[in-house]
Amino acid sequence: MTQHPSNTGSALRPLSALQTGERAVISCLDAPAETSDWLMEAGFLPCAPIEFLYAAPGGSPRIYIVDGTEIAIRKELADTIRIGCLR
Amino acid sequence: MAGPPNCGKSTLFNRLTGLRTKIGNYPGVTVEQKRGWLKLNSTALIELVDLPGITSMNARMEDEKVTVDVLHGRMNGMRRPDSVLLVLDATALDKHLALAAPIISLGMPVIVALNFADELHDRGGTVEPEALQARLGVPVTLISARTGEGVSQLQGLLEATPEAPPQRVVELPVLNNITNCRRWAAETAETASFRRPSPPAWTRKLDSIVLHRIWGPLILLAVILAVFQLIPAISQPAQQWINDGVTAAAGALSRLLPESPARALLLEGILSGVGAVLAFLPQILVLFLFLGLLEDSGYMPRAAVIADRTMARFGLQGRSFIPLLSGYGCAIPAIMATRSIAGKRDRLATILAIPFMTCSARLPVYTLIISAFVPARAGFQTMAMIGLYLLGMAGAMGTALLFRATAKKELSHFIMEMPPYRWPSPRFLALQMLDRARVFLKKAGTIILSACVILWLLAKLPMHNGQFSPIEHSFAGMAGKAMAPLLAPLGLNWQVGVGLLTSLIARESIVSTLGTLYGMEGAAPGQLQNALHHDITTGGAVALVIFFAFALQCFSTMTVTRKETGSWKYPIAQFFYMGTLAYFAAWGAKAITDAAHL
Repeated sequence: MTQHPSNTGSALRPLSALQTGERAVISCLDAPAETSDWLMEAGFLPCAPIEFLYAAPGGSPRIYIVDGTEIAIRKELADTIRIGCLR
Repeated sequence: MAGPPNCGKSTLFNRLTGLRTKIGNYPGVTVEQKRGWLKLNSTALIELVDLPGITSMNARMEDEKVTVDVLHGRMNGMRRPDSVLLVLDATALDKHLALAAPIISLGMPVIVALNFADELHDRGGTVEPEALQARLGVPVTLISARTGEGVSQLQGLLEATPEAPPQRVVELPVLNNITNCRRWAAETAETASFRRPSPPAWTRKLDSIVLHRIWGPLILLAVILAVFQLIPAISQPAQQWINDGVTAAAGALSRLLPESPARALLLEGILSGVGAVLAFLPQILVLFLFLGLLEDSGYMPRAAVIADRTMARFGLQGRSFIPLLSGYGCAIPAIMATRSIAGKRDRLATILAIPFMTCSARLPVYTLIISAFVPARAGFQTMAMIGLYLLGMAGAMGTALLFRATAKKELSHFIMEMPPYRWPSPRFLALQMLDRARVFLKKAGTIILSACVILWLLAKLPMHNGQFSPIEHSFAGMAGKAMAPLLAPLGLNWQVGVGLLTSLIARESIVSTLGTLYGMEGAAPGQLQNALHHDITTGGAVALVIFFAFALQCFSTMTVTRKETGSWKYPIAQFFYMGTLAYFAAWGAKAITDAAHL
């Protein structure tokens, strides 16, 4: 388990920083409300465990396992999701 | 029938209705309406409407809005459903139950079908449908649409008189909040002893290769090459067979009927129009066979992920990739394939871009002009052909970019679920192919046939003394001559004008029309090229191919675009947009060619 900076709002890592095979927990969603709602309905909920599986060639889109499902999102969207440590 | 995407709803729909389906369009939108009928033991007939998948009642995409509107009874031309068959993925029950909450709260009778029972059991998951039924207050049954397990019980439930669900299954604060809804779903799943199955091992293993940095794109390339080699390999012989059949029928009829204008209308106008429509079927069937294989196996979303970055540069998304590429064969099945693209804006952009892709009907025109005007040495002819292919792609991408810049901003995000890999069902594939063929014949075929006959008449009328006019004196010929002043700046003559008119039905018709006009019927190959070489300058020839590269010379494309977009405004706007672009590009190309003294 790697060390991360403390979980204060702005110091939270974006989802796009997750390494292959690395796991974390979603902390919060930084995107505008409509986009966040969309992500949450797809399964990207706060406190949900998430694992980074693959990135397409070029780095985007990226496939994550969240809520038991493999979901692909583009890197810009992954940038708006904040993650914390898996306790 | 409602449910999340990827829950096997369509497989269940096909299992229940078989061939008894009818495909139409919802009024005013680009979404397809799929209705089917099933007749059970009683005399009652049940109409099933397969609604587009939704994840919640918050609709964002056009298809989701259709589902929500239908469920609320707000859809024009449809009354509120009598009951809802909610199909959920049993392997993801703790997640999908979040949709059950708002649907049951609508107040209509609901039957819940938990699909993928086979996968649930194979991967060690469990659920107790009776416990869920007790908790929700609506009938719940565990099924597998693929194997048929549990479907007869479901049919029994469908047949029974529907009862409205009990009130207050879910409180409002839960319904209005996504996190609370999801938590309710997880808790409810637990009361039904739901245990999530282990992850699909084979899917993860395959994905490590299919989505590999190097292997992934290579596999995609291989799949595309295979598909685009196999499609013509299978459909061309079939097309030949159809053409031979039509010719034989024409021959038989011409022996039976006395020679007369009416016979010519029947054989040359109507019968060849029928042949023209039927000739599209092999390409449509084979393309949709491959699309069905790619989609139902679960590979398509992976392909969309790999292609997404390239597509995104042009304002499109990953799912536009295969439909766009299909345009290299023929725009008609390619446009029909855009149904799989979720967002209306992305779908429209793809539909508008596809006709620019160098379809196979343009090739006879390109070949004629290139062989007549481009020197055969040093590979110039090949380079010219490649250049035209690239021009088509540039036109497609440019149009997509232009559309993105000008179209109304629609909230759209690439959020794509990767379903587990599954063996495609042959029966399901066959039903899908048949559906596409029926839709094409009914919605496009009739219009294309009418256009063929009208154009044939325009090239034969007016009649003198009971005889048809030769083409140069027909209405089409007159129109061609009237167009001559417009064509002169492009270095083209009225004969080309007549050819442009006849090629509105099929691009390659211009070759035979020019052949007739130059008196080349039955002449040796190469003679038409000579005749053209004498009559048209190099500048004119360049203008002609550029015109063909960009113009929408295909009424069949317009009819299919109308079907997929729900309105004539798109194909008509597209016709004028492409026509204007073609005209000025042709004019510019001629100017450059003349200036370079080629």
